[in-house]
Amino acid sequence: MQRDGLAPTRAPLRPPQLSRPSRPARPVRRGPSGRVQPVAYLYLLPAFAFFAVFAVAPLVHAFKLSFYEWNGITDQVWVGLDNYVTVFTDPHVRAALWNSVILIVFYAVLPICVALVIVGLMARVRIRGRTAFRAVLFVPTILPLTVVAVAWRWVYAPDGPLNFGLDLIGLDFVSRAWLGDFTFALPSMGMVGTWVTFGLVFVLFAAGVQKIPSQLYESARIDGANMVREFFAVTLPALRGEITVALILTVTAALRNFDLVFVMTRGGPGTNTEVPSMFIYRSVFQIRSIGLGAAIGVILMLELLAVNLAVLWYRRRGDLSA
Amino acid sequence: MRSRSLPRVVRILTVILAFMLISAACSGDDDDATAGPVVLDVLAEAGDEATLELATAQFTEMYPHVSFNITLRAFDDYMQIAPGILSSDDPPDIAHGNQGYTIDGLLVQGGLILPLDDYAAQYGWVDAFGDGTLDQYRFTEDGTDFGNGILWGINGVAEFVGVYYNKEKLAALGGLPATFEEFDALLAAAKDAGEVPIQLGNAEGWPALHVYGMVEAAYRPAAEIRDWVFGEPGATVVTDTERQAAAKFEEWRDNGYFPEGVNGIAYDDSVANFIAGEGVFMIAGNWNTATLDEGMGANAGYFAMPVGPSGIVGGTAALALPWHITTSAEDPDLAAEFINLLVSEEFADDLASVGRVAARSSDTEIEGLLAEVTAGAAAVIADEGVTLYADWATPTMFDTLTSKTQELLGGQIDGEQFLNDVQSDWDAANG
Repeated sequence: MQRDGLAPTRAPLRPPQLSRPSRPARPVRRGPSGRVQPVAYLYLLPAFAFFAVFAVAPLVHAFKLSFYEWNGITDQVWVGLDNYVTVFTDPHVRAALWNSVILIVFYAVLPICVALVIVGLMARVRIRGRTAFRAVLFVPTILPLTVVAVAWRWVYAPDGPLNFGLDLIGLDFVSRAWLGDFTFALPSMGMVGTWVTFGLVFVLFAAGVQKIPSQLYESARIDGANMVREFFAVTLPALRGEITVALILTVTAALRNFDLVFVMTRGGPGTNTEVPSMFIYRSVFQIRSIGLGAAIGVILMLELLAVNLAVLWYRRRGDLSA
Repeated sequence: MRSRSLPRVVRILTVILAFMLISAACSGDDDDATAGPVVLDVLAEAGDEATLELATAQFTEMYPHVSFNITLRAFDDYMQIAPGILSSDDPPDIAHGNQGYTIDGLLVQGGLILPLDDYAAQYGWVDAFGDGTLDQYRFTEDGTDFGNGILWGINGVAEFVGVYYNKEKLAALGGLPATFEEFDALLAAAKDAGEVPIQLGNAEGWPALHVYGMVEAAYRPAAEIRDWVFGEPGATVVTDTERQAAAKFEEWRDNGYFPEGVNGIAYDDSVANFIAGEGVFMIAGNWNTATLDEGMGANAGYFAMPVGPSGIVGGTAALALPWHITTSAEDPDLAAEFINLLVSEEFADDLASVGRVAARSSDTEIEGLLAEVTAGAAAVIADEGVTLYADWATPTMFDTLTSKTQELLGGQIDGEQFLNDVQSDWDAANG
């Protein structure tokens, strides 16, 4: 790359240290001895009781049920790991787990990449009416997902607006019944996920960019960084916290996706848009094998936990090496 | 004058008399107060709202001390919550079930519903509906053998799949088909004329099943199909005739007899498309009658599918969701009396007035499309052509069939593979 010779010695650009918030003081009240007073736990009790009743207890119950065969009415029968064996040997469930991984690309990776590009541009280019722009992009995030699904089912319908638009510009060979197509059903559904999560991700990043001190950009520019270099040296490192939050939220949304699939395709055509949560629904409410549904639920939870821990671990490692 | 007027007067008088006698008996004694106000709790699928409105009004007229507490839920919702409500501390007296293992089998296994054999004998249900027709409501006492044993429920509404047709379009192609071959020829003629031969939307997966069921019925005797659905000993899904049916369905697919993008068209949209004039035929359930009547008027016609060279008719058909009496019903006899009203021949007229097709012959003068639909159902019953719904066969069959019909129509699998997949589901449950 051609560079001017005005600044012959250049320190490598480092991630901006200013952007990282200092750790807040620990809100734990300590007694004279320096130990936590037992009464402190009392204040946690109401919240913990709520958490225990509505989160921990159902989780433990579901875990227990996953070792039983139960139709919801007659006696529960202990079957050990049978339900788990069924889950891992059923090719449909494996396909559903794989589909959920593909959906992560649409729900998390794609919106984060696009949002980063736009945010990077915004650092250089003034966009008029940025607030209005941001508000409009955020709307999909606050819409109920069933509403989103019904709307998009119409958009993708054989005589829907998407095909109408394609026909209009002479791309009639592209138009098809999107949600009934064995190749395009999953990507079509995934794009809806992108549309939904993009607003949230973008607003997160836009807010993150605003807190980057403008001196950093100025010094980067004085150092002769072009737009791309500025993005990788200043913007991206400063947004690491936001990216972590965005990843956790969107990956969770991708893996537990139910509303969109249920309303748009019910897993079809064939089993092409099948996702784990549809199997939970089917196992429990259609086949009435509640233990099997619980087993898939436990596996889905572990999958979520693993992905989120990986994200957090990566973030922490990044912090240490910085 | 309607024929039921006299018995109703008699019944009302009987009730009044009984009421007087009992109140006289109770006046000096603290006997059980059977004549006090009674509330019948009914849990029902929402499609029966209008039916129940009529029936409860008539019943309250006969039994003034009886009132109703009706809870309605839409189909999907209903099937999710009904077993839970029936096994709760506060179950209704009367509730809908659903044929097959996942609801009725479960209710029987859980001891949640009462056997109805005595009532069937008392009210003459078996004679009225035909011997085999009620088998879909039978389970053995342990709830594991479907189609045999005790009668647990009943409904008098026929939910039959038949062939709706666009009268103008068919008139341009030929007359009503008397055999399946003629029907097949009409499809080819329709295609040549640039029409969509069969309107279908298979986004849900089950609509195509109703079409396949018709082809199946054309190649295989109805009794043989019922046997595999019920999982009778010696029955099996795949036979040579079943293969012929699958090959014929595949041929329809390859000939382009269904709309383009059929797997992406929602069922309701396909009905709307048919009303809008897209499609010569639509093979669908008779519950669409009111919608088509309203949308197409005199241009909509209906016939039962001729399933063989001899001209007999048949195909995918069954009676509606069974009415059950729960084990905790306070007065099972009263509940049975109400159910009998629902399935009675007299009530058949009222069923027609709310757009439903009665399985029992009715002498009412109904007109238009509903008359053709009712005649079609009667013809199928007369020819013993009812082949039930294939998805009842195993708990997982609904999922298997819905996804496999989509794969078959989408060209992902051929007819042979379709049958093998259905067979392996069936083997897993019946092997």
